[in-house]
Amino acid sequence: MSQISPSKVLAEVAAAVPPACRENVVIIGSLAAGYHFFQNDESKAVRTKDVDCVLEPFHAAVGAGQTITRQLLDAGWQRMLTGAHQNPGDARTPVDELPAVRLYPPGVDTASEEAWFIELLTVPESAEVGNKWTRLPLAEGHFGLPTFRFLAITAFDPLPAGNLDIRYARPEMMALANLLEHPEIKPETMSSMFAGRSIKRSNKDLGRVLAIATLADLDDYRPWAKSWLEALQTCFPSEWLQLALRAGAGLRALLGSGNDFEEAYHTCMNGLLASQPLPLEALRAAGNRVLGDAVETLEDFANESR
Amino acid sequence: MSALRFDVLLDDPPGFRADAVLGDSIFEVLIEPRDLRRLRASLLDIARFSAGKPERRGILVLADPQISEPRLSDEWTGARAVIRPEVFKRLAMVVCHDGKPPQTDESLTPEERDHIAAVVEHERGHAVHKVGGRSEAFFDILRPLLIAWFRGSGPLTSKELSAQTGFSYPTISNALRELEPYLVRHSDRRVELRAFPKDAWFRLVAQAENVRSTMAFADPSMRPRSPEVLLQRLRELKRSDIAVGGVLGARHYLPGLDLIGTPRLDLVVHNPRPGGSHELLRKLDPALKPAKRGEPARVFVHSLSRPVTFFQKSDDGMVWADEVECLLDLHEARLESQALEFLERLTPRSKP
Repeated sequence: MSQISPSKVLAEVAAAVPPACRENVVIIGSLAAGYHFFQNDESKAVRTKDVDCVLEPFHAAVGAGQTITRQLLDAGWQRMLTGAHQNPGDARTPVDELPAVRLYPPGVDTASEEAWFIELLTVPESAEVGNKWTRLPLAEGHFGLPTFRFLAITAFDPLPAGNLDIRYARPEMMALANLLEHPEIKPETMSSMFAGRSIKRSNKDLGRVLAIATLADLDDYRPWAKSWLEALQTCFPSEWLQLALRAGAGLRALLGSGNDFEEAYHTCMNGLLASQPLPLEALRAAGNRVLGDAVETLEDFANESR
Repeated sequence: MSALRFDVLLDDPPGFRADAVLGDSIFEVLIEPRDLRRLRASLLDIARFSAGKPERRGILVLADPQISEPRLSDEWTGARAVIRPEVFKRLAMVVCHDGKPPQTDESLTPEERDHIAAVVEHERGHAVHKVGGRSEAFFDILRPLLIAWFRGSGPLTSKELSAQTGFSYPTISNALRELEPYLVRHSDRRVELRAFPKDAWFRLVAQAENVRSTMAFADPSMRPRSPEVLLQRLRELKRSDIAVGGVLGARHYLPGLDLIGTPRLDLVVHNPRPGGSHELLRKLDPALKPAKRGEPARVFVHSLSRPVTFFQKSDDGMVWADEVECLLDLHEARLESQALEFLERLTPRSKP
């Protein structure tokens, strides 16, 4: 995995995006978390290879996606050619068989360990939409913008990235989206090895929650519950109560399972927490704080509203 | 972490009441078991529960068993022979001896292991509501006498001492007899201390951990919350039955106490209900967990069971433990020079 400087990469991405589209871009994932926590510390890097750019709002996503991709391709950004669907489709290609927009910066050796690429995604069209692709026609053919059900939470009330004109996801919103995505430890493993090990996707994503909590290093995580409540009520007005009540289930399962927790620990130590390692029990303590302070407070809010 | 629930009535098996439930795991606790039939019945209970669903686990906790280890081992082996293997592998037996780390089964999850102490504490509270022995009664009577002496609140009748401590006249009479050299007996039969009862005090200091049922909590986060942060959260709880002792309490009575920083937080809980300490600590900082023997602890919870607490409430809503509790905490924290300074400042200049 690449060791990248969040500030540097974010600046590079912002500079490459046409100014008119920057307001539609929200950076999410480990780069966003790294930028939030390490932006004033040049010595800290993030181990990642993908820079996820969510386009929002949904009605502007296709237009912004076309403009951004056009400009990047014209500037020499290189398409990533891996996976099942590599070639652009046409109007007849089912939308879920279209390739995603994944682009390496110009001149980068894509085979290099240090190479990173951007990927374009979009927020869901509505609260009812789950994982879905949106068609993105370009001169080269049709591409797709993937969305995931809880991306609306991830991109809720994003923060400005300095004076770069793009925004990045709030760490606590990324944490909530991961909690909602994994109400249990699912058996599916990640498509590629994580620092030499096969890892369950749930453990990696729930581990991200623990890493964010560790980096946030708050004396009190209860304010997260308030922000979470607002995000849930805004993004899922008819379902927020059920979502709030189940948000902690996966984290509870993770903390209760020695093997799964150890996998999550492995992803943290080789990911967001690589530059500040800590013992397993300290990571568990961070999880207990999120659970006791934030998740249980959110559950209290939900129960009071019943 | 799943929430630990105590004394839970389950639907499956019908009518079965588990001592504690943690996610899909149940705990059955036997305090000082000496009866093999009871042990076997409990094993059968957890096996029946675990047989209901493949994710269920049953943990039998034996606190201070009066049954020999070879006998326990025989029982476990015997159970293995009669319980289906796919069920038996989800059962565990944990043996706890007072003051020693539990001998836990390796099959326990870290979360289950973390909760053993809380489960035993809860069950002990139910099994035998503490009845103070002779020496504990003596210390419980000594403490209000010391508070009265420190505060200069005047002599006490036996009736008042009985109301404050909950002990009977004969018990109070015995304790006073033991304290005779340090007592002033007034003509109206009221009593008060004339001097600091050094010997009795240091006996109390030596036994304070047991007398006060102290529980220690460690913070494994490597990012400990400061005592001030914990205090703020305690204040938010608006609990009148929890008081702050230790260094912070001593500073309440003696603001000039010579000590930089606050090395630990001491809390005194009045009539704690079983498991209540863990719930309280979770409200202050969910990262706190019962300290293992020898593990550095950051928060200490002492229980106080006498009818009158002598807590003091300050204008900001903070409740403070009495001077004796604070002094005991200083000794327990090995802050001997501060304890001496505190004692000197509390000691009345002249007594009748």
